[in-house]
Amino acid sequence: MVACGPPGLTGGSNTLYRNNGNGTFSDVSEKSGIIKTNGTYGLGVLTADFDNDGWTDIYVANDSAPAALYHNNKNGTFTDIGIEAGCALSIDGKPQAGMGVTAGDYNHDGWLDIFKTNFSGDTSSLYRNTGKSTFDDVTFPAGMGLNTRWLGWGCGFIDVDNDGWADIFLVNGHVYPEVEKLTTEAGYAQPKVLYRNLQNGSFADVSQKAGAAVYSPNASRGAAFGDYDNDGDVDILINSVNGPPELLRADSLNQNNWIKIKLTGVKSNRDGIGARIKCVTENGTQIDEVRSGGSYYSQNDLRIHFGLGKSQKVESLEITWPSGKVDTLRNVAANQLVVVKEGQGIVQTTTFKK
Amino acid sequence: MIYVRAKQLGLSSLVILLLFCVNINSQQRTSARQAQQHYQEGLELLKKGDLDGSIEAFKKAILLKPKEAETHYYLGYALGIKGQLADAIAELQKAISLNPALGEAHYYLGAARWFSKDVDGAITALRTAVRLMPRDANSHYYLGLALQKKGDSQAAIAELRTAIELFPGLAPAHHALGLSLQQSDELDEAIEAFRTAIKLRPNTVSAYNDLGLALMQKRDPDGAIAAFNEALKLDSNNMVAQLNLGTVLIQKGDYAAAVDQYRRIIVQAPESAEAHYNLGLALKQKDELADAEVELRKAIDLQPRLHEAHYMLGIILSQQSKIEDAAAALKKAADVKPDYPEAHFALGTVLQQQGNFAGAVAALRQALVYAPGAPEIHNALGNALRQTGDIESARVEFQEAARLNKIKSNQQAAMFATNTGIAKLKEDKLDEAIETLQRAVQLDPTNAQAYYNLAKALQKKGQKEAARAAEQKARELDPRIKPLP
Repeated sequence: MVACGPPGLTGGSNTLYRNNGNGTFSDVSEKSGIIKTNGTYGLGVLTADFDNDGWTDIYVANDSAPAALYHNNKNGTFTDIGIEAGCALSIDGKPQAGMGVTAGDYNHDGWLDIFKTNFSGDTSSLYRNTGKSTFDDVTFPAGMGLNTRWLGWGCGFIDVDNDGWADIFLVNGHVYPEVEKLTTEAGYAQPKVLYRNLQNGSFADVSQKAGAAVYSPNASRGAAFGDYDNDGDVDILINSVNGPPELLRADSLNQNNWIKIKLTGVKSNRDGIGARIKCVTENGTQIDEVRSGGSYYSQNDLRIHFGLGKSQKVESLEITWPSGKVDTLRNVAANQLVVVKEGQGIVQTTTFKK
Repeated sequence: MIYVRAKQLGLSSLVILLLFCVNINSQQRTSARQAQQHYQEGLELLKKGDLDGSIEAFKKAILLKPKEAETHYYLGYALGIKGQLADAIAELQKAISLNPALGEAHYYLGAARWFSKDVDGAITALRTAVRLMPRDANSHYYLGLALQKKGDSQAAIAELRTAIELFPGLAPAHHALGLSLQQSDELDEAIEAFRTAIKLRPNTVSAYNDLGLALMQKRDPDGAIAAFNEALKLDSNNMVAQLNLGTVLIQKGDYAAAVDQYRRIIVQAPESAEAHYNLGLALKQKDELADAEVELRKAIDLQPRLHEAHYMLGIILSQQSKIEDAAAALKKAADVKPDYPEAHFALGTVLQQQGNFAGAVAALRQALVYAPGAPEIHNALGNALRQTGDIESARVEFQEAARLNKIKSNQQAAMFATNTGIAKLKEDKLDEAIETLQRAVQLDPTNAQAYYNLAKALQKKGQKEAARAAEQKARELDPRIKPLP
């Protein structure tokens, strides 16, 4: 028996649990409007503040249905604006088989963009945030129309070369082990893909230059990102189907600088989930958020990592906490981990040996 | 007349006249004898295959005895065999005017008109032929061919089945029946008919090709590959089989083999635009976009009006981020074939990526002229309208897309429910089958198969009236559905 695709089957509905702050949760799916959506068959989920209003929105990649962008109405309710916002469908108006999702400001315009992996026979999707609560599908102009054979899953905006510009990494693998017997498909195990940010709004597929660990095939699903060896570059943990996980250690050959920030909430949640960090250097401004989940069934390192290029310091680090409080730190030295406590600034720094 | 005038002329004159008449009768007898000799000679020569000789002889016979239907008929027949179709038709028409009951003349007239591409004329003559000779397999066969050509597949199938009933060994009738059945989406029966044609006449390349195409349509690429390979065993240079083999390899998703196949074809036929185009398609599927672009450009050089090649080139250029070139290629595709919704649609999306939102809106609206029921075009148009700032119009388009998508997803769900219902019916779980099939018809009231199987289930359950109503609905939706037993 081979699992079939979802079309024709009754879809499920999304669920939102509100944290009661006392170790319990309440199901607010109906009250919050989460069940009112164009899409169903949800897979990847991502929380981020897409319209920079300080309130977390939710993006859901759906299989064979329009993706959902739940706009936070700031009153405990959400509205799915995915289609109207231009990030629910492919450029040619079709629902895709969305799998993994990630957000990052790849073009340094101060707005979080969306990257979504899809089924084979399709490209991944890159939606550029226009800053007007809408997105433009820039998959093809950004150089991501080249790969249609891979079936994508976990993904992330990560700055692999610490040049200060978010690159994109995704893992692949077919859903049907039976395809291994066919000459027709790209195989059950598939290579990963690394797109390097060319700093001009477009990307180049550099997978073949990124080492055998990247281009060797694997039946991958989850992908989590973090600097496990604390050497200043972002490593990748890949969860596989019917196989051991893969740990891809990044060994950066350049001398680019970096900084990591670990947040400790006081009024806000302890991990600072939902906090927005703005990192300003002489080379420009980057943003990122601390988030729970994302990619595909994965949790990244909660420490936020910024590549700094040749900058020796960060001119300012601005942390906007979920509580609304803003901490601003100036002239922070590169190549260290700084621990920032809500309302107290840097409470600890750590440098790591290479 | 002569008698009346004789009475007026008087006796002597009558004697002279009678003598004259005797003389004429004698001459007529001689001419008739000679005409008969020429006619017989014509038949003998025809038997021997001497067409020119037979035509000459029949013409001589006609000069001497012009009102013999049979002679005109054989002359028409010989001319037809010789390929002089216009003359053949004229002679056969004369034969029919002299003897309208001459069934063979109607048959050959129909056949001659068929070969002259006068399909309506052929049908008229062949209908008379089958009326006069209801047991003549060939007349039914040609009538079937002509009806098929007119697009009346059901009538064609009936005639071809009659031809086969009368002459089961008539291989071309099985072949033609296969084509008509294929046209009617009765693929299993079509495949069976092609296989019978091949069994009867194993050296027919076209039958293998048509069998392969039916198997392709049936989504049996391995079967199709085997059929095309058989065709190529009989004629290794057969271009139709070569190209079909490439196409089915693409359908199978074996793009590497398809690329090899098209490269082989191109060695043999470097000027085949179709081969270059298909090679481009196969390379595109392998994400070898630069090579695909080269092949599509070659196809366009060879056949500048190959609209699909312009279109696919546009898609590949867009995939490679060559957005301006993509727009030019897609514009060309739409120029070459203005009623090409895919080209307008893709052009719209490319213009949108260029930031030319007004141009995108215009192209997408043009696409909708030819494909108004395509939800994805409404969505894309909505998106482009949003980008122009026309939020209200965008909303209208998104709503229309949602409406169309709902219908589409209901149809998919109905298909799923129908298949489940059929499975339940096979397991004799009648209540579950009825419930599932009722859900199917509710989801998609245009699904004839759902109604038909619901009728079957209801009949089996003993609910005769409800079964009849469901059956009637099924047959209204699809007149090809056979009545329940």
